[in-house]
Amino acid sequence: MYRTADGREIFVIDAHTHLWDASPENQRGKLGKGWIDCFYAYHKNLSPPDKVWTLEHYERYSVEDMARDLFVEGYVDMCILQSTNLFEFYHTGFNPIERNAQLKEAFPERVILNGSFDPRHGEDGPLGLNALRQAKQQYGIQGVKLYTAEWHNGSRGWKLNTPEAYRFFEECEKLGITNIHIHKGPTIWPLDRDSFDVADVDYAATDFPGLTFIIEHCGLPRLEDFCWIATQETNVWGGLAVALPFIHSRPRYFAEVMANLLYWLGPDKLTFASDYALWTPGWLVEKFMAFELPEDLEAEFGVKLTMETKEKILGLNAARLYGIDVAAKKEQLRNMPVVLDGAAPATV
Amino acid sequence: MPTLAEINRALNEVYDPELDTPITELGFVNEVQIADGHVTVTYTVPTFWCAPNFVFMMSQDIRDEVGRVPGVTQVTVIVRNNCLEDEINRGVNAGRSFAETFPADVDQNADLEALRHTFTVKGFLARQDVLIRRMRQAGLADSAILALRISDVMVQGDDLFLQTTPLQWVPLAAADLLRYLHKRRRLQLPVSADTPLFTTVDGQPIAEAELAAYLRYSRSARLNIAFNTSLCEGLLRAQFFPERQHDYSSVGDRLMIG
Repeated sequence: MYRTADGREIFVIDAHTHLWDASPENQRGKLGKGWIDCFYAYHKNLSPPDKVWTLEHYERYSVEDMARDLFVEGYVDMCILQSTNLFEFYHTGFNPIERNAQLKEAFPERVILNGSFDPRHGEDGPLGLNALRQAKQQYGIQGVKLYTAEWHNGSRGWKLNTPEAYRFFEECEKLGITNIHIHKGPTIWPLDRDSFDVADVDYAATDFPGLTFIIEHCGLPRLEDFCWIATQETNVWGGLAVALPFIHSRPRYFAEVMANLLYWLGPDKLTFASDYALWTPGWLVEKFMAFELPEDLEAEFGVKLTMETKEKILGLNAARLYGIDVAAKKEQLRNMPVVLDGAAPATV
Repeated sequence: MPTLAEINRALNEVYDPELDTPITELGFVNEVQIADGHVTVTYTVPTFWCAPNFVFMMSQDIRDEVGRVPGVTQVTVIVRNNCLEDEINRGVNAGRSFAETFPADVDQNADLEALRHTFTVKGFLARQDVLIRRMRQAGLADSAILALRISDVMVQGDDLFLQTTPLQWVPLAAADLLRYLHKRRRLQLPVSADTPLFTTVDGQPIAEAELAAYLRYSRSARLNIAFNTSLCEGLLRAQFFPERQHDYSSVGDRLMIG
């Protein structure tokens, strides 16, 4: 909960978070190291100097660290955990659903746990159709996070608009898994195409109107193509991870990105996300609440970043996607302060 | 024996295709070694996951541009910090094509030129967008901007003078004009005196009624390139230039005019 100077209580959902283990013991050679070193460069470059972690802490942090950074110091009422598997880079995966579930078990009322699938796993693979059904049954997932640049058995990426992927979307519809979060990493196959191309989102979104496709990083590094698609398709949303930390280092860039997104998508299809532990939410929430669009952009785009819009982006939009009754949730959490004592996190 | 200055000039013609910027300006180039006619160029890309197709293009362009310098008999290109660096280094230095280097990952008829063209077009739109905005900021009406011919524009130091009635001064736009014309040449669009200054990437005139919609897209293409450029520079500094860790300036800033 973020409280404004005049006492307004802003409900905050951090819509893209992870509980990862990228420690050297879990790394499978240079790929696992290359992955986390790249993340750490994002973290170091875009965080304010006093918010930079050591690499060792960044590689592996505890459930308690995460609870403190989000729920105690980060204004976050609820977070959505997005599972990223990377089994070819990490022995036990990067943050598969089983690891993320530890935070859900510790803070069941504050955590929305999402699963994932990979069409190359077919029926019975660890990320196949049966595993998806199992995740629904065991965790009641309402969403999945898809990483299309995952390496698997010699294949180095997949597309959303293939018959194999469509079987999984059909299953999602059946199971009531309606929120499809997509991270477009640099898909290496087919190598001769634009590896960050977002065009396949367009096909899937048209063919599955009952699903909502939330494109993380707002399609960056293909913002212009993403905006175009998200304008055409009412069920394509944007997650603000990666764009947000520019608010500190390059506020003008952030302002221009926000103006574009508000112009093309409007205020109702954007979600706040720290991408924890890429960045921590506390400073992002503070800076976002204090941020104002420059007048020249307001005039040129005809948009405003009002308090109401900030409130939607920070929590109300994601609450709508996940069927959260915000008033009731506020009341529930008010009676559930997060207390961290020593090693074991606990809710009281 | 080729000189270092000649090699550096050749490297200035090698672009990061996605960022529409020479690799020399981005700080990618680490070392140039010249041993008689054998030139070795070592460069670093900002992340381990930089798209290998773009990395391949840069390595191949280095090989081609440096290879054209008189006196160069052999070129070795070494890229660092990429998940497929070994394959790329082996392929480019053996003179193999992209499809030959990655037989399992691409259609054998594929080449990278279609991909390159997609990003050359985005670069064109971004550079054009900056120039049009400078002219709007100087007070020109859209109709006057779209009526300009290349011969109407004169460079005066950092500024532009337009031979319009009345004469029009556009401050600080000279570099933007040159960058735009450079891209027109790369796309083989006409740059002769009587050519309209602003056309679509297909060389067609832009109608005044369509300009707003046209600029809406080119504006986001411009922002996207600037954003990615600053991100890539920042990632490179965070890993390899700790002293510039919190230096947030970017060559992408020249695309940011507010």
